[in-house]
Amino acid sequence: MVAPWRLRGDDLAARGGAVALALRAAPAAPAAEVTYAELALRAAAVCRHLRRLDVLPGDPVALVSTGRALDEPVALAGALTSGAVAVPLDASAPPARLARIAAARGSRALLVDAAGAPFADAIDAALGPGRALARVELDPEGRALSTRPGGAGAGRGDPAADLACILHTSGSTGDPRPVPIPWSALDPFTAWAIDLLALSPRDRVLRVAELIFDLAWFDHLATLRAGATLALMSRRDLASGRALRDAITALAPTVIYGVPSMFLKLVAALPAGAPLSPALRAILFAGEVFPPRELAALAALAPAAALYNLYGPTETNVCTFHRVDPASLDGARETPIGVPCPYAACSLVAEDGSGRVIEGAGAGELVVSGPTTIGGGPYATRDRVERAPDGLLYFRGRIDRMVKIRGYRVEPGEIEAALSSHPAVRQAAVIAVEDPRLGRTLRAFIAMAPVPPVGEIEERELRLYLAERLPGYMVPDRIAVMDELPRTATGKIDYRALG
Amino acid sequence: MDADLEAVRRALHDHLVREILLRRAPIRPEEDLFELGFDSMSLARVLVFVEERWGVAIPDEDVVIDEIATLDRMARFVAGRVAAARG
Repeated sequence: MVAPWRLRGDDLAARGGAVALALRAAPAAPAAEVTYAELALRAAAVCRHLRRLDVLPGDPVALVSTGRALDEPVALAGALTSGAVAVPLDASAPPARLARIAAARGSRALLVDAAGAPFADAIDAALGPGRALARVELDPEGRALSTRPGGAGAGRGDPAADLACILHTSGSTGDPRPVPIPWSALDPFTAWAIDLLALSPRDRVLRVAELIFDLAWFDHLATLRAGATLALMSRRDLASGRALRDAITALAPTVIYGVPSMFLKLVAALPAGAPLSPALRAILFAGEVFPPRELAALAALAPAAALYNLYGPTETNVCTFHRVDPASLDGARETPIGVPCPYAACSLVAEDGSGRVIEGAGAGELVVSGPTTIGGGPYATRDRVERAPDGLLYFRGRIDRMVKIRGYRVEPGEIEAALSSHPAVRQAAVIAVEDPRLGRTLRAFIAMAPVPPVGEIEERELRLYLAERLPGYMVPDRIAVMDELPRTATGKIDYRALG
Repeated sequence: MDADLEAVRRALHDHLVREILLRRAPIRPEEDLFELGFDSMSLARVLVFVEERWGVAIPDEDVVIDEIATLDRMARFVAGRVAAARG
């Protein structure tokens, strides 16, 4: 068997003077460029620091960049080329949660930007005395600045598992669920994506999604494998449509892969009739349903760009795709998730519990197998998918209660578990509702504990309590107190009555 | 005008602390909000708050990040829009 492709320092160095990274740090400043040769050197410096901290191939290494400058791709390249397993942490999540994730994965070190040092200190404080993570700090250029040893508690990874990274998804029982991703799973995906887009060293791929998302692994790995340029903007440029538009104008990316809500903001920020950067030749989106009217508007503003709808949970990576035909966009019809990727076996299984596989047209639960699927599969997605008579697949919603908030997967059960851990709360229910201005938001309903008497608890106090345990996108906008949560005839919480 | 700016700053501060950034500590006027976790959703929520509180709708695309990156600058930006809307 041929060994899967992996990111290697020698391969980076061999690309020499080609531009690997281009960063637009400030609105007026010209983009700072880093060649592949220089990226290889800076990544090698990170490798040396990791080795000094006794990080061996297969060991998990946590990674977070609060500033998201050149340090993030360098830290990632350093960790991966050293053979370590990258465990990206969400810079917007509370330190206590990140400490739990780092400890649960047995992280041997933390790679962090220098600006994120106070953040790393807070993670160490949450880990407790004597358990601080060994740390490598990088400056915004991605130069490794300093190393300091850590305390007890670090684990050893299994190099035979050949993992590239461990991502985390929302877990229904209260803790984030790890999804280990081996190189053998990333290889077919990146090879396919490069082939689909004919990605070449001439391309500039915009760096969009947070590293905790599988989307960001396309940005980094497909780009570096193809020898293209990763075009970086600061995290705050993602905060408003106008900043995003200006960053795209300045960086002139040829490829953008993001969630629909980001493209919606971008379209709203373009002056009427002004097209998107003409260099843009491919737009890929995933993670949510793209509203048909807005997709038609995006297609009209980027007439030279091919549009692709990609589908797949973290556990399978992208497993179906669809090239959107702009002529078919009437602003009303939804876009299919398309057909299976060549490496993915996708079947629809009847939801009646019989396990019957649906051949031809019909709807059922999508079940995926193949090299990119966790454990090789089969993986039941809990997504209801319909196969139309022409063979195209359509997403028809969730079978369970999982919801997407701005592309983030959220298990309401994880928020309910966090709420219920508060001594004043007896029971909690969380649902997603559509807000006309904010889009999909979360709403919580709680029944208070009767004894011991706790007095009135403020909604604000409960939201603070959640904010110290969950990332911001998982904190409900409103928490309503009820005497009793509504019940169905069978005694279960009646979520429909709450919506 | 100065009193208005102060009132806007105070209202924004309380809303950011209590509703958006969910903090136990106050925010200093020159502190970088993005380093406190301010993001695109926070911005959308601030704009909804401004519209409900002062009746001024500011589209997301009018917002220059540098002009709202601290409480002080955000207050000046919002107070300016409110004053302009009132003529």
